[in-house]
Amino acid sequence: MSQLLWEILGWLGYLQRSAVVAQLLLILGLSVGWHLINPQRRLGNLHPALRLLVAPIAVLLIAWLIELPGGKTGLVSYAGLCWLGWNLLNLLNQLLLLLLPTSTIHQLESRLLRPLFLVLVGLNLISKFDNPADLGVIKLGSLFGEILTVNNLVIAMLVTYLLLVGTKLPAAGVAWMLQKLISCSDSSRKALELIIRYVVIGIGITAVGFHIGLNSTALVAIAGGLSVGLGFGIKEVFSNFISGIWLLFEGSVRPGEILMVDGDPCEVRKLGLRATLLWRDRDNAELLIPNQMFFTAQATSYTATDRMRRSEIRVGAAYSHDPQIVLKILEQTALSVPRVLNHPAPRALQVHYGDSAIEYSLRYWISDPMSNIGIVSEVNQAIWTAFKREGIEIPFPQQVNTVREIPPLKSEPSAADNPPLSLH
Amino acid sequence: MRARLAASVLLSTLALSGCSRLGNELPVMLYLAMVIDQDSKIDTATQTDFRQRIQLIINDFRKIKPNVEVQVALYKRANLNQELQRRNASDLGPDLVVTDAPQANQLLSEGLTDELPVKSFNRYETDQGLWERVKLDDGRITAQPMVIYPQIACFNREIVQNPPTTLQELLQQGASGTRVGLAVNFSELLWTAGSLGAIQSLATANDDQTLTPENTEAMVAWLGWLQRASAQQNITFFQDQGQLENLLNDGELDWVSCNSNSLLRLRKQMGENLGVSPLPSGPAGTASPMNAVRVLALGANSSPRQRDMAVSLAKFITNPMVQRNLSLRSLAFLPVNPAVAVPVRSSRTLATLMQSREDSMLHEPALAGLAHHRSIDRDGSQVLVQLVFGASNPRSSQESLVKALEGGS
Repeated sequence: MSQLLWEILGWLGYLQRSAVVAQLLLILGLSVGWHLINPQRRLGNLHPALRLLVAPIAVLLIAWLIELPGGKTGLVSYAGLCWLGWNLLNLLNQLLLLLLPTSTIHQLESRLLRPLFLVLVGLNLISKFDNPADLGVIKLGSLFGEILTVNNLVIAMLVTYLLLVGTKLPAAGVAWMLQKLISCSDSSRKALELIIRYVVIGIGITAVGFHIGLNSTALVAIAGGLSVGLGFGIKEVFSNFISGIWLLFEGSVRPGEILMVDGDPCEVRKLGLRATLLWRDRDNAELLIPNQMFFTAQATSYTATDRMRRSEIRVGAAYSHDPQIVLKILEQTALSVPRVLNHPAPRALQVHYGDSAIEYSLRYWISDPMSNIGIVSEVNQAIWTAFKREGIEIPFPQQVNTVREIPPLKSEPSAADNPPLSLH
Repeated sequence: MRARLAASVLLSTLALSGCSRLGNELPVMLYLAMVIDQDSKIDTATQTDFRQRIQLIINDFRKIKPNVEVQVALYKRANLNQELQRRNASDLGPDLVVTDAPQANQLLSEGLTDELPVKSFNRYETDQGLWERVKLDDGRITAQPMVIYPQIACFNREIVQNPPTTLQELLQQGASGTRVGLAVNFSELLWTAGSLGAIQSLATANDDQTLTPENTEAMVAWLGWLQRASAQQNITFFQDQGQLENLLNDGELDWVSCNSNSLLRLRKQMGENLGVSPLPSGPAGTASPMNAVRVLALGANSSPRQRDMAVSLAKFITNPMVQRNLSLRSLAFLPVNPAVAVPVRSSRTLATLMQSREDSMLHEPALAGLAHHRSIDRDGSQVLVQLVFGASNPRSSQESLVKALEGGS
């Protein structure tokens, strides 16, 4: 490790060369100048794509002009090229937007393309004053008796990162192909995608482990460490991880499933390693719930065997109306709402004699559990309209208060209360 | 916003210019690019080995110039030109380049290194013959010779008790079961030309002079011997000495030609089983090994302080004490300073290296000329490959070789 630090510190020695300092100052001056001229205002007439290319090309041009009489501007040219590459990524981003959804592009760009670009820029920069291949074999220490070099560490980190970030799209592609082959449902496809990702990541991380020198002895040591760790700090993490995998195979909590959480239907968006991400329609909230919760607690699902949901509306009608007629009107009304399924047929029931009305229950089926609230509203509106049309009254509670005779406020005075009469 | 920007620029400028001013008090950082052996790969062991070698020199150099630090970067020989071009384009090239003489000549020809200011050097501290190896046609000296890596024979002591001293004995030992490995690379197989009397013919062809019938026959005889040797079951030709050394270490070969540069590595791997001897002589005389010379060239981008320090180091390298220490500590190099007496009685390896050096000296004028040939290693090796694998006969190979030699110097 000290050797690597020494190598990195040693690069400062290039500042002893005036040509190097001059190049760095030129890069600094050009970037500051670019900000000072306020490009957004001055280049407003240009097409946005062209605007991205102006500054880098100007830098490359300046570097070329300095090189003509024999100046050294390798660093300036490189800075210009990097700037150009960075801006071209913006253009690529705009092109990809035509093919893929915004969220996917954003993830692809921020997690894969730009980090990868920066790594390449860094390595290429190092090769301008040192040999990355030589730096890579610097010994950092020993791991389970094997030499750990910079190369091993960087490759291990890079591969792990790529496995975690870059396997999503390929796994989705393979899952899509499998869906076409075996004709499974969308939620099964998503589950397949996750399983493929976990398998690839698992194999990849094992390979990375062997690359940095893990062997059977090391695995035993890690297993020993894990057994202690499981008892203390990482028990919950491990429990959530295993629960997630179990739920995935079981199929009860897969992306696309609808679960009831605190009385609200929520759609499973993502089954992660630690927690499940659910989306609640009511307030567009995303809930992160540890996988362990679904594993140990009771959960209500509307999508375990099918996606239908039975909904219910209770309504009262005045005692003066024939219940047979009311029941018929309710069932016909439910059938008239487009998003209510015809089969199973809606069913109205007379359920209770209330204080001011006879209570009826209208039960009907819908195909999208997440749309329940909206459909309830539509059915309620249809009932109100139908009742009005048919002259059926929806009574509100009425109370008759009977006032008895009010007793006199004052009673006749008694003889004892009268004062004695005086004799004159 | 603008004030903040201006302040940042001012601070950065001050910091950068401050670094330049401080440079007069800070240690001088020398960047050294070093070429690894042919066929070696850049790994932790190679890196440690090469850095230790440089450190031996730098530790001594610090006794007279304490204010110096050296950072080493290893490169493969084939990549060095390209890497130097890339680094020099930004003025970030190394201050010193350690490589072999032919490559140093090529680097100066391409403007990737600077000429050695030889007038300020004590030229007598370097063998006069070696200066010829690092001299361009226009008279510029490309580098300072550092050490000599003689070409010798390496063998497994467990199998080969008495190493062959003549080519005849080599063939006999091969016939009796010793697995012999030879390199098909022209410069690494050139030693056999001395033993078989063809070295002068090659030099004549290289000088673009007309070959006499005797010259031609000597070359054909040499090539004929190589073809007969390759026909033997236990004598095998490989691409280069790097492969031979690896196979010797793996126990798949028993006797190979090798470079003393590899002795440190082979000694570590084979221990006491490693034996060394001079290359076998032949009916025409001693072997003519093309002993490699490690040289130190000056980079093209140094600051004045770095250049002064680099020149001081280049001068220091031929110091008799340093040269003697290098030989004794490594037991793998020979000094370039003719005034340094190598203690051959104290080490059999050093005696072998000296013997190889003396053999080479007998053919030095011819070898120096061939060393300057621009493409004989590539073209000559192609001719030899065709020959040893039976695709051409000695006569046609001789003609091809003469063509390859003509006009290359």
